[in-house]
Amino acid sequence: MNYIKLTTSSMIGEKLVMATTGMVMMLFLAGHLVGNTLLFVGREEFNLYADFLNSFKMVYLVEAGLMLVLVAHVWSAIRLTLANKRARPVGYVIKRKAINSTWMSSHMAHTGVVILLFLIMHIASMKLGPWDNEKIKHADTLYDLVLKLFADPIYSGIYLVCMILLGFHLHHAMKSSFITLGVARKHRLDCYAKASLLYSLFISIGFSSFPVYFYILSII
Amino acid sequence: MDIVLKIWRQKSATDKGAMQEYQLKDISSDMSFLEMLDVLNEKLIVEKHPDGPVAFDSDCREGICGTCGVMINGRAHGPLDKTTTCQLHMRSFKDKDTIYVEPFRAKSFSIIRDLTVDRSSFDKIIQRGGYVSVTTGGACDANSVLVSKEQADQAMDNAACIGCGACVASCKNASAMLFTAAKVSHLGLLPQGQPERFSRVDNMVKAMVDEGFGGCTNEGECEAVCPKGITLGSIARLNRDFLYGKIKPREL
Repeated sequence: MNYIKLTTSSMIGEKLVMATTGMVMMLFLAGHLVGNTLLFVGREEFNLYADFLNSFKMVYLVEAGLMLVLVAHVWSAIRLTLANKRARPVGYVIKRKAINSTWMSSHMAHTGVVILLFLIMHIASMKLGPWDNEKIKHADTLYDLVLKLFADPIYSGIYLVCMILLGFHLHHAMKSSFITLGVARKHRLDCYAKASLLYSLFISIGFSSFPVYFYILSII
Repeated sequence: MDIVLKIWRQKSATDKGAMQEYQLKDISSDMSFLEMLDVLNEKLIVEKHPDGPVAFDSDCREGICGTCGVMINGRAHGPLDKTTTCQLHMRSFKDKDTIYVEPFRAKSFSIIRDLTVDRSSFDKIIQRGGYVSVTTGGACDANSVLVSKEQADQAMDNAACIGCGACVASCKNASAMLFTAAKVSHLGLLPQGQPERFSRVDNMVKAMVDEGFGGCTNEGECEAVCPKGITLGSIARLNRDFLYGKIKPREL
């Protein structure tokens, strides 16, 4: 299948890119969350896990792959959003009544932008943060960095809000991907909607628990 | 009942257009929405109103042709589920209500006058694949091609699409996915539609883009206003056929 031909010939091709890249990122998020729960276990365990991941040479390949997936997702999103806006140049006088759509489903682009900005902040502070830089104290482990960052109420607050918006984004994203990929059958649409709700709650609550837990830990 | 109507008036495709207010008194609650518009038009003609009568589309007035269709208070075909504008009655409104009537809006649906829009983009999508090729000659026996009950039912459900354009009008992206999906499912589910099944999807999807419709974001506003109850399941089916058509091994 020719990628360029597929995405430029039709919107569905482009949407397939959105759905598949989205699914890859959703799988990654679940793995990321499960791994990070080691933060609750303790410093030694979490640092061991972080070192373990970094010991693989493949980790750079995976990171590059994820970055590519993200770029494809954002690129298609921009192209689709612009095309969708062009499809109705003159709007209605009376706002259309929302019946099946929710705030979450109709603001995917907005929550998407917030998540992208969050990712930049997240990677800059957690991934490229001082723990990795040998010039700065090497004794500072990733666990200590997490502890230090989450002790800051502003950082924790931003993190928390972004995780809630991520949940909103995923709530529609997963269900929508199943339809775009053609997996969903008519009589199972409700099941996919429920699965999508559960997944978004799992991710949103899961990742929100870190700033909440560590911030409370820092003030008591 | 007395009502206040605010109707979009536009003299031609190039005219700017604006909402105009009209008062109607003693409207029977048994009238259909279009009959109420007929009463208004009669009044405008008799009064020699400078705006002239309101242009709107209608044909069968039985809810089966797909010709009528306006936005009523921000909802395509008005407040009732699975009801076309012509089958909507004034009993669905209250006395002294203000009703806003607007044409269906999309780049692909240009306004001809007032509430009438040009929906020939739908015809162009059909021309690109909404058919089956049939050999000429004597008609074969109707039961010679077997179709399972379930498939026949599903094909029939999708064949119910009347092409009114409410799906496009209510979609935030003005996407024609529900319409196209209904046609693709209707033909793709039947044995007669198999030879062109995948090329049909491909061509109709291309036509959709060429006509300037937006993309689908799977929010389901279309299925909520569809007078014939076509669902997102049909859209999933179109996507499935589109994807399979791209990745399936070539037979020759």
